[in-house]
Amino acid sequence: MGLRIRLSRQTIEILQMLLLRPGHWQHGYAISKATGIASGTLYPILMRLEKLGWLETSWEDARVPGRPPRHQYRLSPSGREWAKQELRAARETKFGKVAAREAHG
Amino acid sequence: MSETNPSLVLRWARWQMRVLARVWPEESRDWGEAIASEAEEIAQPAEALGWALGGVTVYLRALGAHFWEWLKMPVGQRGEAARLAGAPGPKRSRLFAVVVLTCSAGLLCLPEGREAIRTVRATWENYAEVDPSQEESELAAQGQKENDAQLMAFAALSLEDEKRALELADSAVNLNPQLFWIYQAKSSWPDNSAGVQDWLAKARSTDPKNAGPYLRAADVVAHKILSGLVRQHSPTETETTQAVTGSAEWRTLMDQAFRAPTYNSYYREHEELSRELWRRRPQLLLAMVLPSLWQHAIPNMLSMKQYTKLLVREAEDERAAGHLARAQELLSEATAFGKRVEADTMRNGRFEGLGLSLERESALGWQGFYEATGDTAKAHDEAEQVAQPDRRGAADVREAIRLWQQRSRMEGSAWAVEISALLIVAAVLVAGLGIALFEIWPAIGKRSTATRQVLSYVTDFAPAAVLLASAAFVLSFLPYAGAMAAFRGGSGGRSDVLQLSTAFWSLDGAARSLAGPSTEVLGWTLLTVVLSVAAALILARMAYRGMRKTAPQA
Repeated sequence: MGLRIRLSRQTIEILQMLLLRPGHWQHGYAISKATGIASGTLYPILMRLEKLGWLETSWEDARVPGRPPRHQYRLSPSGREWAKQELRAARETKFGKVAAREAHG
Repeated sequence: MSETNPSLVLRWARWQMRVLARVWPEESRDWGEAIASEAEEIAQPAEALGWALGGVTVYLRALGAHFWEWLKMPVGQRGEAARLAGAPGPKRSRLFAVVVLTCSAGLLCLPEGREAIRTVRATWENYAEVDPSQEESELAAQGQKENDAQLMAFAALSLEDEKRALELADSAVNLNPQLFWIYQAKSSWPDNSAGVQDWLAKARSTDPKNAGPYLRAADVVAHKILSGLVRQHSPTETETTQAVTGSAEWRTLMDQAFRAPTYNSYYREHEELSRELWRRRPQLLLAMVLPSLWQHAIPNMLSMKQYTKLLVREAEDERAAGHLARAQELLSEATAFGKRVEADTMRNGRFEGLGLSLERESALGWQGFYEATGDTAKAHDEAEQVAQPDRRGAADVREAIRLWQQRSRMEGSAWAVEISALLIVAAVLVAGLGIALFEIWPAIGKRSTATRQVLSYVTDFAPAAVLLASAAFVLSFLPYAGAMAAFRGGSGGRSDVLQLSTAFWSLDGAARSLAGPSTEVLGWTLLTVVLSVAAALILARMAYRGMRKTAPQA
């Protein structure tokens, strides 16, 4: 699936948010409000996902006259598959660590 | 705040993002516009401000990434499209040029590199006969401003303006009375200059028991007599000797000198002053330190010899007249003075043999005295004394040969230093010109592929040439750096100063040989060097390509 991307906590939250409504376009501000991630962190992640081919982008004409068009995002089909795999693996690792901690008391 | 009347903070945040979107790097401008357009949707000023600040960090990262990609591209290339256009151009990246030129700058910024640049610059200024008085005046002003007695003393000894120099000397001695010797050490040329009497008067008043000031005063008198003679006709040696030794004023001064209890030329003190100042101020040019040592005023050796011979002749006359005690007194005066001079030359490590040659003259006198009075044993001892300077003279010749051999060895390094300095200048100019041409005018030479290829080749390899020349420059300067460090850290003595002088004059000689008699010759030399290097690189590349083509296929 091309280059790896480091799955930070913020990346996982963004992927989870985008997977909630996979075919639906999301704006950057909406993603930021939903995940609590600031623009300075959000956009570099979106840019990397787009570069890897897992994020689709498009421009939406402004709904309010006088405002510029807005950029919107959704996971590509391959991106959705990848995201599901990565999130599953992340949960297993997380649950594995939690289980190990519980086993050792 | 309503959207119809947004607050200042909100307006500023949105304006900032709009401005950033316009200057965003082209590769990711879409994203800049995306962040800016979202800012228009945010109603809360604090939130909009946070969004804009986030946008700034994304912009800076994009700028960094863009700059990095730009650095990795070949010189003159402005984007992927330019590469695909297919025109031949430089192959080395901007990053290569930056790294190589930075390494060169690093080498030249090392202490040895900086010292090399200062010293080579001094040799070129010497060639161009740049007037050092400006620099000397600045040193003097600095010394007065900082109340630095040593710096004022150094400047006083160097300045040609005698009135200013005397003022400085007075200030220095007032601050540090131990510097009184500078009145005697100041070199004045010609010896009948208006200021020299002021210096000598101060030298005598501050150091009345030293023979030095009296000897210098006698030299001034001798110079006046000889100048008068030369204006009339070309005098013979006998005429000059008679004219000088016949002067009552000269004889009085020489008598005072020979009777003075001490003799100190203060050369060692001058050397120590220069050494200490150079340690404290390493940026002081070698071209100022060395001349200050070589310009140290020393009494005329011929005068000393003439007066010694005069005393010996008078002793012979007294002996012949039966006044043996008086004869012995005169000879003892000559011998004692010779010993004082010898002690001074041994202490300073300079003009060794001068005292011995004076003692030889008095020993000849004693030999004659003892032979005439029938004391053969003592006459034989004095004959041994007469032979001694000849043995020491042989040692001096061996030392001179050793120094000449050392200078010959250093001359090889001197050429390497001067040539690599020229190469650095030439290669920096070529690299700068090539890079600037391709960056400003990427289509340069498109009509002539050969021209463009040559320009590309030169632009590719000129930075590497700068690095190689810088390394050669610093490495070949190391022996000189060693000579300078030895002088600065040394405890004094002839060998330190002579080694330093050998180092500087070998560099100076190489610079003069390279530059030739005029700047036109220098210009042609530079052009020849640059074209030769370029031709050598092109031939090497053609040979390499030829070898690759004829290599057997696997």
